[in-house]
Amino acid sequence: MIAGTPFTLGSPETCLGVGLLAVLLADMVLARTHQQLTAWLAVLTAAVAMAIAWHTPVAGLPFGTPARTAAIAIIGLVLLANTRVGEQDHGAWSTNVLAIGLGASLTASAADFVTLWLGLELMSLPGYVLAGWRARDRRAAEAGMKYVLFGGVASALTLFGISHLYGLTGQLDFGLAAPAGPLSPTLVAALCLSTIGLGYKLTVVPFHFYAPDVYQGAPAIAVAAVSIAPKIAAMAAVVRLLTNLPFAGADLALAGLAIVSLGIACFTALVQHDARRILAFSGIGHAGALLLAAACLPGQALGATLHYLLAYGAANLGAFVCLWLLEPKNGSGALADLAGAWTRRPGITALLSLFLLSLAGLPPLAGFLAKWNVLAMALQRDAGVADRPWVTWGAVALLLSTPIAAWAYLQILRAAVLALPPPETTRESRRPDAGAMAVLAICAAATLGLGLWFDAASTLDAMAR
Amino acid sequence: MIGLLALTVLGPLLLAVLAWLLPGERLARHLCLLGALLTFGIGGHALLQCAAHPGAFVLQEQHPWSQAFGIGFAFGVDGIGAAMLLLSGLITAVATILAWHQQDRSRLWHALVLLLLAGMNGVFTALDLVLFYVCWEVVLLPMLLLIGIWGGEQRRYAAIKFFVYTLAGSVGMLFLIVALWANTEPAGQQIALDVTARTWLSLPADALQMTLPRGFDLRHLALQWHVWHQQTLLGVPLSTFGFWAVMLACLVKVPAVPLHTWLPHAHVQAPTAISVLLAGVLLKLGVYGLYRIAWPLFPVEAAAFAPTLGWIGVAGILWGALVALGQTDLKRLVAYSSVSHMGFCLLGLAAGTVAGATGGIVQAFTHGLSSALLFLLVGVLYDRAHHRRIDGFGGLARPMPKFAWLLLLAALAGAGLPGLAGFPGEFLVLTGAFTAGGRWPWLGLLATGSVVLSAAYLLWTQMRVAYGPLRHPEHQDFADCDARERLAAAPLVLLLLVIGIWPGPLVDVLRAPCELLLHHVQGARP
Amino acid sequence: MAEFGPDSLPAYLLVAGVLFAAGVLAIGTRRSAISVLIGIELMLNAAALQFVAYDRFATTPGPQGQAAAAFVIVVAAAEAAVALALLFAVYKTTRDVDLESTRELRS
Repeated sequence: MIAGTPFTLGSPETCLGVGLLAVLLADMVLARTHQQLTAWLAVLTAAVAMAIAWHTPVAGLPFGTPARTAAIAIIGLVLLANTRVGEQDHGAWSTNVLAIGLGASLTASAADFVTLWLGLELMSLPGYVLAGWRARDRRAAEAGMKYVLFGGVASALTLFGISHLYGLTGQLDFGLAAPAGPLSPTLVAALCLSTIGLGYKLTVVPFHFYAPDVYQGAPAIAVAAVSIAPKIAAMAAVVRLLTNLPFAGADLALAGLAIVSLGIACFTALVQHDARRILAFSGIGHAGALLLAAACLPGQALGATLHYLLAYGAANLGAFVCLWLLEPKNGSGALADLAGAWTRRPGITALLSLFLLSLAGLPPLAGFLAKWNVLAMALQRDAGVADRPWVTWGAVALLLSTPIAAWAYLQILRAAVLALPPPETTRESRRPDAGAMAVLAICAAATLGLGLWFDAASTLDAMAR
Repeated sequence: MIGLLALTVLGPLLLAVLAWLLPGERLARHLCLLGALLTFGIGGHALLQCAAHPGAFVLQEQHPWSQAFGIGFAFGVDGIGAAMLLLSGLITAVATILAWHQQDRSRLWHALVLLLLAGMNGVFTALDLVLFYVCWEVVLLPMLLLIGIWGGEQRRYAAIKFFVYTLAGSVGMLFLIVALWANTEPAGQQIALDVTARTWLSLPADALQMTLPRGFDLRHLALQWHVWHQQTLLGVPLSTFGFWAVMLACLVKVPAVPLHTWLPHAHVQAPTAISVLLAGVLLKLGVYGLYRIAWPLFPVEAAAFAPTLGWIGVAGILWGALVALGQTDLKRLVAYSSVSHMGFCLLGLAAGTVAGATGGIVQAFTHGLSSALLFLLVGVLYDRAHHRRIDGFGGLARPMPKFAWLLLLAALAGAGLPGLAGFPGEFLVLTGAFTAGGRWPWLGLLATGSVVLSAAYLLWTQMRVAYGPLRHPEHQDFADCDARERLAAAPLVLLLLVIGIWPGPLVDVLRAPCELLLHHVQGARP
Repeated sequence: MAEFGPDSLPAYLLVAGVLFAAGVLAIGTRRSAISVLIGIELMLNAAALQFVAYDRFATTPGPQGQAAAAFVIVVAAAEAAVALALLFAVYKTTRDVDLESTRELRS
């Protein structure tokens, strides 16, 4: 019995799949001079899929609808940011990015473990390819290799756990996999194994170790593709798991993971000398905050989680697109290579600062309000909410990590804004085109808007309920 | 409709965007001056209103922001806020005139100064705790960039240290704000109104009861102090936790010993105009936070902590003065004199007498004027000599007579000479301490000792820099203060003299809110 | 549960367990990326074997376990293809796929 969304022709997955094949076909058929069309075809596919996702509710998970839409939207923006043909083999690039969207959509609507695993794999496989995109670059190749090997291990462990779940309960649906009453230790062990894949996609400690290397080695625009949409989709799956399979101590486990992730992320970020490694640890810390929001479920935490995902997605996507435009063409994210960015491209550097300050959680930007919402959920004491000291400690950890993480973000700002340009060269970097500028404008508007609109979380909560 | 106080925030914000985006360096600095004068004008208007309605919040306005959390764009000032608003506009105008010929990226410079102004004005005029906090944090970014881009040798380190230091100080406040919301009754809190509450809320004399809605209005939060006293967070009373969070945030900004270590660094690295803003207005944010948040919201804890704060204040007064005596760098000397003078504000508030509390805020205001003038003059010297070592100067009164007169005036005002503006504040604080009973006279006595010290280091500096034989012949060619520098100094000098000779009106306007505050604190019993 | 024999659930689980352990061992001890990849494949196949075995001995055998196994086979093949392509890319740049010596990326 499958409890999820029935597979119909009108689903976003169908649209993405058909569009993906069309892009692949167009890439083969079209002449070299018309390659630009494939890029725009991919953007169009994502836009249509987004519209369909918005109007097609995910069965049994209201949270899935906006999450799935947001994930596809992010994918569409990544495609829009990189429409210029020439640097990449464009058809293949667009196909892979669209495939991540397809996987994210599947993950966000999965209601049983095998579909979940399929969705995760469908996000991972193109992700591996994108990470190693500039295969002639040693670092990109190494990033791809590390990503695929660590990802393969995580995926195999997940699947092994799922097979045990199936054996123990005879079921694969999220809700039915757990019998009534307390869970047996073997079942708990199998459940833990089968959530490793989610932890890997969310980059939660201890499944985070690949992230800094992959973020550093892969092209910045590829990191934007593999780092955000999968997180949104994985959070949707986490929410569905927690709703269908409530178990005592979930808040303790999630808050514990959150505290460890926040702590490790902020301290390790301090010693990095590469902008993208800093952003990788930032992503780990934000994953911790997201788990803290999930630990507050139910209540209004759905809106807080969704708002956090959107705020993080907008700022992170914007930051990576900015870095992609500012970096020298060899794709180095080293802080030293960012020096003098302000004198070369003041507008984009200003936007980068905006996104970084939002990630750091400075008011009145979206990252601040996201943090605010999680805190409000963690500290609320309305009737019917039990006392959860661990969640409160998680909130304390979230706050204490803020200034430490800010120090790390400021290292990027210091390099890009405050440091003087090296005297000898004007570095060659990409020229921003209209698509990339549109993406930056959308991200900046979202970063400001989601920060000033204080009722966003309650509005989103009504939508996700 | 946007009222006057909202205009002091939105106006500079809008001008900042215009100054940055529109071409033309001249336009940018004129816009910056416009923002400052706008603030100054509205601040003056608010002060007059406050004089007419003692203790009440004038020019109130409220625009909804969040239904879910009960947050509003609520503005309103009493005498304290109005005085600070006036100071913020005045000092920004002085800083703008000082940086009039800013060459390097001047549009960005002026846009950032305007953003800073908007943040400071927001803190001084906000009646909503969340709005207050947002503005409090907004101030950090322009300061980071202003010090980090245009500062001295170690500007990047100093800027980031300032940013992270103050951010770390204020995250506890964010935690507190959310915890306050989480611990209020969704239906609202029923309270009985006393005379303080009626004045604060501008209610008629026959209003005896009121249901305070869930939200962040500072006055409503203050009147519910007993709720914070009863709730616990991780086993600690919420009020205890909250008081310490606010104290930490404010004491870092003041700065109080031993949390002052960021200040000399930031001052030395900052360009002159930014030092003026930092000493003139930004330090006052901390004092203002104590008067507006820590004391009203947590009166019981405040009363219990007051003796310790008194000692912290005295420690700052003496430590700052002693360290200033030993400085060889002019800017560091003025920075440590700030630590010393801001200690008086803490002592005055802690003493718990009307004279002391009023004196504390008067001192905050007049220190804004005198320290701004001192930094301005140090900047004048640095412009000409490109160094700030005290022993590298001497006998400058001969080539620069106007400069020497201004420096003498600033030093005497800083030393608290009667007849100049430094006097009323220190006098009121000491009076407050001597009349407070208990051990307070001892604290007052120690603080009095520092008056001697500050006279010593300021006048000794004056002597070494301006008088005596001309030590360096090449200084003979130094130009005296030019028209622009004199124009920047003129309003400061004028106010230092006026307030020194005729402090009555200012003290009266500031006394009314302090009386209410102390009435509130002393009426609170656990 | 059926007693232990050549065609019993415990026997299949034992084989799957041995496969899985071998995979984990390969990943944990070998420095060559190829060996790690083989380890991953062993683990995936252990899981696939368990799916079919559990399905065969379930009280109500259904299509779920077999469907899952079919998915695993397809995905494992795709994963191996992508992984080999990336390993080949690394080999082209460094002439080596030793995980210890491939250390360009670090803080």
